[in-house]
Amino acid sequence: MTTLDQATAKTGAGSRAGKRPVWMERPNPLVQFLKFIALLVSAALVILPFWSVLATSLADKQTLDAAAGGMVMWPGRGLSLSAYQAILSGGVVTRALVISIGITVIGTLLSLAATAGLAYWLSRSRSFAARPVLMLVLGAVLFSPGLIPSYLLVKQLNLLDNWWSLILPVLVNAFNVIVMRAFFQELPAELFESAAIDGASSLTILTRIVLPLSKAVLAVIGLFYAVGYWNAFFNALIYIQTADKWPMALVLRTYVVNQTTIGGEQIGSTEGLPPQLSMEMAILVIAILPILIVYPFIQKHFAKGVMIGAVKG
Amino acid sequence: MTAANRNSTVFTRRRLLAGAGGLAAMAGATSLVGCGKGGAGPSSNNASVNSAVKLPTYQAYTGLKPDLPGTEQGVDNAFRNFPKDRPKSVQEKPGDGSTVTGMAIIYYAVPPGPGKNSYWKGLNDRMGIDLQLQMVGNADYPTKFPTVIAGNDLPDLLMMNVVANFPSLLDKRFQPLDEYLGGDAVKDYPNLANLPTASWKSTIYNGHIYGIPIPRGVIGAYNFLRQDLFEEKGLPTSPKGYEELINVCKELTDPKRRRWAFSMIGQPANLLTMINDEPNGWREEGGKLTHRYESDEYKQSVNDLISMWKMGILHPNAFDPAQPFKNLFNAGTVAINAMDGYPGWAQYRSDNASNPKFKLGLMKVYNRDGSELAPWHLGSGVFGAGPFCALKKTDNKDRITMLLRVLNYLAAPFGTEEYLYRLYGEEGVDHKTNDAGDPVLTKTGQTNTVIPIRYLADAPYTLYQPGHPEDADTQHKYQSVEVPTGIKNPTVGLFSNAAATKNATADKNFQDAINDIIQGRKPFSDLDSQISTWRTTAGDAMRKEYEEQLQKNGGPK
Repeated sequence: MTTLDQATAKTGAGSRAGKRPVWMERPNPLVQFLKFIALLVSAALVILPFWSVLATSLADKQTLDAAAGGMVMWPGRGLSLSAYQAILSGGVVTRALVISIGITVIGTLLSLAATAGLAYWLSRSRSFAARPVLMLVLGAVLFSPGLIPSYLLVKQLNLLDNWWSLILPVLVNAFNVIVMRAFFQELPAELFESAAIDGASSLTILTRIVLPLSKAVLAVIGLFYAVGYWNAFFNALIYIQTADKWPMALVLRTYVVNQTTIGGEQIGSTEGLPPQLSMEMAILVIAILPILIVYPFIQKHFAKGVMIGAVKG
Repeated sequence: MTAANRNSTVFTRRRLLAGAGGLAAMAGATSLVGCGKGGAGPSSNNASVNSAVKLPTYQAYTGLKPDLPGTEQGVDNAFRNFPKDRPKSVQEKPGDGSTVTGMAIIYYAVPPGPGKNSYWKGLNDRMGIDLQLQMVGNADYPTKFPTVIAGNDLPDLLMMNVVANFPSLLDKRFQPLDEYLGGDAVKDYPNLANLPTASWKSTIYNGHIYGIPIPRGVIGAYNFLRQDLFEEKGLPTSPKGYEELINVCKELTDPKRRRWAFSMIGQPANLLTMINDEPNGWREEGGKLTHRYESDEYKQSVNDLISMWKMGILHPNAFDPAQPFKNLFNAGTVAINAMDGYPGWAQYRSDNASNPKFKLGLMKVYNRDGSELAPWHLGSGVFGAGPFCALKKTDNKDRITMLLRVLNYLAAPFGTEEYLYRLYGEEGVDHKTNDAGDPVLTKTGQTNTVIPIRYLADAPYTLYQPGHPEDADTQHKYQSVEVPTGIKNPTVGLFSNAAATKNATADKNFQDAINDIIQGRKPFSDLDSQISTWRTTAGDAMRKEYEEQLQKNGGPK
């Protein structure tokens, strides 16, 4: 942006307005306005569903009844936190939140360490067996093992009903390895050479030179992993047998996607429970929140990190 | 699936592949054990073998007298209030202190585990076991079930899903129970002997009893209606014939006030199956089966649906499979909730407990010209998502009898002390008793008592609505009118591999095409080619498999 502005200033100062190239002309106000409208509409398309989820989670029963079972855009006169109270009181959701945070933090750290190590190995063309291992990694992008073999493997590793089953099978994502390898290859070779001359070992080069220079890609890949761990319900569904050990995503799924009825057949009176829909939406809000909080801190690295990996990938 | 399995007897490598295929769960299971009987065909699972099975002797529970007794045809027992005296139906602790594992579907938010759940702990104490349950959301059960089977890591008690090669799966992995439950042997477990005979038919495969059925009334579904909305306009709640139904629906519809007669397209479609006298699934004549899609009556129904859609008496979102039809009904946006599962009665009651205007009614179904009641399409008599609970194969007879005693405890009939605890937990903690003597769940109870033990064994369905004694009469009267007109689906209790593997996709494609026809996106003349597509992809194979099983017995049971 800055370079463009400077260029405009420079050429603009010395020449007539008519000689400006097309892309440097003063913007037409009408076009500007249309662009503004278009951006506003697309922003609204993204924000409104979130807003509706939030509003519905805060709505009371009368408002929802009036909406005939649909979502609402305005929570109505009385803001009601009863859905949040109901969810957080039973202890199931709070525990699942703690479990999910634990899995996400530990999983992301381990995944980053493993991915960075593998990517560094593969990025140095003279490393041992770099090429066959790279082919193996590329193969993993194309072929996935399928459900039953994965289950049998986890079972034979005695990891069923164990939180490690949610981390180890998905520890390294081949695509992320390739993105990170491409980033490492972009680093100037002179740095490695001079470090080697100064007597640095491979590990020292990785930890003292490569990783500090790769904060952008680490942040992005870390976010990929974190979002992956946070959202993963399927492995938990298959591998975790005790409901007490469920992570948030699976609890969320039983509430929302399965449309479980709170109340329901033969249960009798369920007076006093907040409406099902606001409970579902409240869980959604709770589930989105942590990622939403982390995102702004990593976002600055985001565009840069993805671009660098993508071009070379 | 079938191909992989057929190959498995020939090529060892293919056998390995069959085990590796994500969907080939059952084929994998077979290949691990070896292909003794050739898993693909239901060779040892036919009607002559199955009809030779000695069904458990029915012995009704006599400890409590229902206010309105059920009938042999399948009308449920009804109670106006919860019985004051709650007899014990199981005298001794059924368990031996060991750990019992199980897996079943859950429709509720997950309850806290036994460590933090006083109800669960109490249940364990009462049964004398340490019950460990895997609870799987209903939408995920079809995914989880094959992995558990393939992992050969079966729990003691498993809610079954009817899957591909089901008979051979049962043969290899699950315990035949004839010697414990066949004939009078079941009398050792009086609460199991109290389960309706019709429900046991769904547990018979390969000539053996393979589990404990989860019984449901044969009525299956009700035509719920908002009586308050009908009364507002002075409309008859049981319109006689198609014309009158349409007139009533038009009166109920007022798009400006966001009011329609029906919500989802499937509901009037199911209603029309009876009005137009379509087959109940299949029609059997002299050993030949005709599916309802192939009948002329079905064409009539599609025609009717086209005109109903044009008239605008259906909610505009009627073709959205995720339409929240229960909420629309509660909100009065739609007035008729046709052919919805009948246990929904209790839910509509509790959903609308704070709405004094809400009045729940039921619509009787008349035939097309309105001259008499239309034949009711009876349900299978078991819980659709998991017809029975099977026991892991074991040589330990003591273990089997212990597990059956536990299931006997769980099947304790309505009104008994065991039933009260199973559904409502501990007095003062999980429930309170109101002035009328009805147990009402507390908030703790609502969270704690939803452990899905009801899908391991359940009491026969009983009509009872806490706080609304008159509901027992309404429902019992409705069932007494409709059940005697009922016709059965001749394929209930038969197994078709094509139905278990191919029909889901074929049927969905067919229904999608029909929906297009109803909305005018495809011409009506397309119907015939759609029917023949369905026939070639699944229908004919299903017919063949069902007819084979029927003919070996010289007709349906």
